[in-house]
Amino acid sequence: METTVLTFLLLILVLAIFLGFEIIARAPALLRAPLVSGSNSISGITVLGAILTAGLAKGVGNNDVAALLGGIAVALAAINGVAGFVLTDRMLDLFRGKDKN
Amino acid sequence: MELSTLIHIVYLLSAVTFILGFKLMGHPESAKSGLLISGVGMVAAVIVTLMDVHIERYEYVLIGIVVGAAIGLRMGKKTPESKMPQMVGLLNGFGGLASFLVAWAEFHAHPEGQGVTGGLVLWLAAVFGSLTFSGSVVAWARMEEKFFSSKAITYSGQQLVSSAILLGILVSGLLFAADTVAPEAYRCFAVFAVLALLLGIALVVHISLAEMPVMVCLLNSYSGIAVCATGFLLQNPLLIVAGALVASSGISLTLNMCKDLGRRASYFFLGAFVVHPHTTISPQNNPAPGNKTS
Repeated sequence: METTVLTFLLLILVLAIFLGFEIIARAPALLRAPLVSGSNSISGITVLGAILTAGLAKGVGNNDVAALLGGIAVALAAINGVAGFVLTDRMLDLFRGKDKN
Repeated sequence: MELSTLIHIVYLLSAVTFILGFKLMGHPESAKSGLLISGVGMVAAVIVTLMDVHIERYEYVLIGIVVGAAIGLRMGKKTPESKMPQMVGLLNGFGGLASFLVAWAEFHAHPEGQGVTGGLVLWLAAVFGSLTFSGSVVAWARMEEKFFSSKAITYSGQQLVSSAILLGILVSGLLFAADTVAPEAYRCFAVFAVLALLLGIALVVHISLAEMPVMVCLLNSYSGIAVCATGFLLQNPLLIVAGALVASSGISLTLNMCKDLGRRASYFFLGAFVVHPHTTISPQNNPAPGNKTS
């Protein structure tokens, strides 16, 4: 990895870490369960890496095995993202119901 | 406009939707729109990634997306309310396994040209992916009382065993990163992958069921670290931003939950490695397993 690219990516990393700490620091305790679930759903974004791996060119070196592993990763990450989204949505519905009663 | 420029602009917008999404999810009245906004950002990022010129075949990609989305939709809808907390754990395990597989595939396809930095991020992605997977699945199994006892497991010398596993992961990782093309590199990879699976189990077996939601939250932030390392491996800034947000917000949530439980945070972070005085929690602070900390 080139040093300039690495420094640039590290800069993004550090800023995002500080942002993550601050952004939900004052969230009410009631919302913690859906927040865990929602951020779990966002970690399904690893599907991007999986897609790029699953699309490796055919017949070059070890690509075929790697692409198959990538394909399995796409499915797992998609389950994580989609089910996480639906679950979080249902959790928030529950809270909304509670508030009205 | 070049395609790669378009992809990067959409990645930038997606990163903004994740940040806004998190922000909005922290307030009761805007939580749902926050979730929706980050969902839109995620779908947009997937669509532009599908247009990437580096994708030379689509069969695995499309099968994976369709099968995964169908299963995910079903799992999300069918899970009864009482079982939601453990389902979050299981899903987190799937995400961890996905990051591990990406790291493995990347190493399998391009062992050369990783360099020491590449070797280190590959190691981080594989280790955090693998331990998130096993830890989350065991957490789920214990909360469901499937395959595993729901009781906390402690044995003498437990901290020593966990520390030895951690040491093994560090040593094999350093050997691996020093030379990823060496004939032994694959063996090193296998060693730390398996040891990380064991470490994931060691991280959760001693945690009581009432405290498991906190551990699930911490494991969620570990999967964020795995995503982040995958981002460095593939030099994808969106993965780095999303992974770092998940990781650091997860740690901040874990610290808050610890405060509520009257537990030291070190119990969850280091409890597997250091003997920790067991402070009993008063019953009224002790939430039922299906009833997440609130």
